[in-house]
Amino acid sequence: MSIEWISQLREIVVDSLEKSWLPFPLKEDLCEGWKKDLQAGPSSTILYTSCMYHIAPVIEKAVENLEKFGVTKGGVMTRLAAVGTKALGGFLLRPDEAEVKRADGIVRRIYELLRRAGVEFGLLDREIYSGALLYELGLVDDFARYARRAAEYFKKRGVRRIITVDPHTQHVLEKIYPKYVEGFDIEVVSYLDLIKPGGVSINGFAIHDSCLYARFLGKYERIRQLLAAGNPVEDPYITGKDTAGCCGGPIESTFPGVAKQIAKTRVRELAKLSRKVVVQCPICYVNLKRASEGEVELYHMAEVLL
Amino acid sequence: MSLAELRAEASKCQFCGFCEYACPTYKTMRMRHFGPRGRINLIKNFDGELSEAAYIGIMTCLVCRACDVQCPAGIKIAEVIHDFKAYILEGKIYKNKR
Ligand code: SF4
Ligand code: SF4
Repeated sequence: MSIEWISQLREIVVDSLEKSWLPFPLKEDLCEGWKKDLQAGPSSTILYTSCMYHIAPVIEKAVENLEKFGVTKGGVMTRLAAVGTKALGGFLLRPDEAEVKRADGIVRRIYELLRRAGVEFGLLDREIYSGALLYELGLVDDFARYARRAAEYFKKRGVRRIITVDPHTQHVLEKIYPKYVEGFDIEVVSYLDLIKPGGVSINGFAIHDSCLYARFLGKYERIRQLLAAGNPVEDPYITGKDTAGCCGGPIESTFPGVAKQIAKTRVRELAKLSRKVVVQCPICYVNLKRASEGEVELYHMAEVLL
Repeated sequence: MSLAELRAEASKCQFCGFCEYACPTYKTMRMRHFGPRGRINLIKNFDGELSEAAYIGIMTCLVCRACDVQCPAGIKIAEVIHDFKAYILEGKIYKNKR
């Protein structure tokens, strides 16, 4: 896509973050529903979703539309407004209800796995986005400004330790925040390293690795340990740590057509191993789903751990 | 990394092409500017201008690091491309905004 496209996307993301702490115009309570009736208790350790599981289906819907119709004269904003619903002073993007329910279910499942492992933690009064997308797009100045704001948000709430639930948030908080936020000393851990599941509910699946977990964060072996009871089908190239293919997600909002082709390549590879595929990242999930057209069934890791 | 550092890192490239073996965008698009070798050499030879094709090649990198481990010269390919993207956007987007 052209520079104008990225420029407009940037404006939407920066503006939305400024107004609502979320990267797109979304219902403010979109990422809060899963907390209903859960023990939120005050704690310096928090379970933090960065809203990723709830935002991913919104991106999926928007990207589908962008891909179909391309950029109009009115640009990205008009295109997104066309898939959103009218709201005071603009529009709101809304994921399908079924996807919101699935996202709620996944995050609640992670909550349960952690509680069962005896981990003590609280919940934020409101989820905010980590800013990962800005960094990944290469919009480093905007990212740095936002990261300082987000770090302040955590600090004000006395957060000393963050438990993340997806690779993008883990990566940006663990590896990138310390480079851009002076004095950022919050400990950042992944739920994967804390849970003690008692098995796996499906068998003979292929694992689609998140590039960030496998090659940036050293979680490749841990993921295999957690999923071993389900006898995953491995292949030295297709599911190898160094060579496993990306889902195309990092460029889905800038080059949706290329992203989809990459996802298709990945689905074809995985389908050679199994029709059942376990993913660890909400972005991988929506990208592979968009390209799969029923060729593989996708499960999120937290959905299959017992 | 600064532009000079990016160029220095990219200059280590020996054109062997080992990095293309696992690159998802290269595997899918089958054109050199959609692969790590092409991207690294676009950065190495950057003189202030990028053609539309070169721009798309750079911007479609997934920063997935499948190339890094294959490179015998030890170039931090994914990081170089990510930081070069940031450099390009810095020039094209931010300069107009401030
Ligand atoms: S980081 Fe970029 S160049 Fe390297 S393998 Fe991934 S997509 Fe290809
Ligand atoms: S593997 Fe390294 S040295 Fe070889 S072509 Fe790729 S970037 Fe250049």
